[in-house]
Amino acid sequence: MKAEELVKQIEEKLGTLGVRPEVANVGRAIGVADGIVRADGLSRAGYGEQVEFEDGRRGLIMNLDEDVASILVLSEDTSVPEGMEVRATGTPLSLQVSEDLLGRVIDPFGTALDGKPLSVSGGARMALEKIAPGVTKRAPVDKPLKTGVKAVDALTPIGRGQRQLLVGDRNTGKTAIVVDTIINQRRRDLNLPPVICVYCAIGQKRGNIAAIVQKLQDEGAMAYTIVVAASASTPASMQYLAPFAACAIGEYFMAKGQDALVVYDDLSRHAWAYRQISLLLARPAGREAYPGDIFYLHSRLLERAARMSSAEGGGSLTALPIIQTQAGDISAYIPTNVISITDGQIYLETDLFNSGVRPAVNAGLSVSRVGGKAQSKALRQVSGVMRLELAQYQTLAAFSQFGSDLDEATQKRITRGKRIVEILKQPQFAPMDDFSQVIAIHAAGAGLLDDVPLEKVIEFERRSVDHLRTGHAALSEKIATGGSMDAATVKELEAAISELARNLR
Amino acid sequence: MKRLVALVLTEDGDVREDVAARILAELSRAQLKLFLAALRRELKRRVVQVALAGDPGKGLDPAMKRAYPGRAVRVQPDRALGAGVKVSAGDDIVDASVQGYIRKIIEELGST
Repeated sequence: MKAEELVKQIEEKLGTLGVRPEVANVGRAIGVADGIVRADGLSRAGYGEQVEFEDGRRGLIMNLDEDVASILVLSEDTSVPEGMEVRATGTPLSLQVSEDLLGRVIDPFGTALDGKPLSVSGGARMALEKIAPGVTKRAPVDKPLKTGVKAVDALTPIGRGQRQLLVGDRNTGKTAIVVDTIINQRRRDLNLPPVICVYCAIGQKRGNIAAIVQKLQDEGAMAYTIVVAASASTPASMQYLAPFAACAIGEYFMAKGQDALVVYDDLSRHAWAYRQISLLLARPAGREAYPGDIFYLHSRLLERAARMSSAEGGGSLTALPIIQTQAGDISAYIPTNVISITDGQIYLETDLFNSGVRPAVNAGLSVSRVGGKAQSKALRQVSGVMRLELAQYQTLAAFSQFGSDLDEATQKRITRGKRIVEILKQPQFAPMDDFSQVIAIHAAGAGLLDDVPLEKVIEFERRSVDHLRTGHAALSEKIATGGSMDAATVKELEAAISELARNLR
Repeated sequence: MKRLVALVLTEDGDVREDVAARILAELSRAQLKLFLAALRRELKRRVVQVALAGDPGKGLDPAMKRAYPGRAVRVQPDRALGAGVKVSAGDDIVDASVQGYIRKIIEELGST
């Protein structure tokens, strides 16, 4: 080939645009109402596919009928003029996830809500809806996710990859527990790998979300936390998608072999948002006007929580959904649905809360089906005894008003039970490490505080950790590893605790 | 309604008058509205609209017939396209025009 020919070829190539024609499947809005657009055309669009309106706004196909598609408008402004063109994109809803999101407050589409510019570079595009990992890709839950809350870590321990529900009436401290859990991840308790936290606020007041973000910032927890917010003032579509976006973010970190925690606060409001959408889509209403697939909505979301096998990277996604009950009715439709999906529940009771027991965990109705295997050996060893004592106390508590009329054994049980209840109280934003929990729980469960006045139990707890760390350093180090305690260690610990308890009598 | 439309229209686009008469007589007002919308959609689907920036060459008609067999092709000049062609067949649009190319670039710039 001659040089002139090459020049000619290059000139020809540069002279053409070299653009592939754009092929699009389009429709037109023929009806608009309450954030739902009915569009004709879109013959090639699929269920759950993302569509794009002429003005750049996005929508989600929720229903495909013979001639029309029902589209959920995915923006705060849901007004769409009739006749507006809408294009199928052929892609499901997704958002770009990377480490750049850490410390940020975003909406379900990854747009920053904290007023600072956000540029997500690298990472991966994560689909909001995804099939949960299959059984062969999973491994058993075996590592603890320490909440730092004694009552939870001792009675209903949570493992990494578990789905643990927090259920209770309004103002019973559900959010307080999850915020404490997020704050506690700052501490690398038991030398566990760090946990990336995703807090998903659904249908909450903006003021409440701002207060939580502020608290997390003050405690230095935003460094490893992402907040996905769809406040009460956002359309139902945003509230419906928020937990799926939060889950997709958690999955990104899980796929990288890291441990992630996703808090859904709360799924009751999520169910309300989905009910609203379903009714507007004219889907048949079922019990309490919820659509027929309300169970599947939550099961497909929570099934995505998993502990992956080492072949799959060994990451985990722990889910802490919250459900708000009305008048303590945990047998209502949505609470029973989510209870049956999750691996256990922590039930918070209004009466306990009002009587000063905080966190107001009802030990009888709370359970963790898989977390026990993930508990540290030392804590498992001491909490088993305490659980038994607490159960016996709860049975006898009704008789406590008879006082001295009771036999000595019953009085002893009641005395011990009262101290266990006292030791399980914990102030907010003060999560405890495994070592402190083991000491406090063993002291109360083994009856070492039976002679300590009830009002001095808190003081005992405050002084016990320092007492052991300064006076019994070798023993403290041994317990702090989380390994099981042999008889000699237990004896030494009891001697050290009794020494302090004697001083408080 | 799609089935009714298929019954009333022949492959060539003619109307079967006996079927049309029955439809007009028996469908309610609400059903007729739905039928009309479905009929309009089908008629739109059967006609391929071709917008061209320049003059249609000799090869356009046979190429369109090959790409969309059994459909009528209507060619219209559209200087706003700048250059290239835009084909609308039912709810499918193939845009190979400079106008579409510029719009796509603007969209991509806007999203980065």
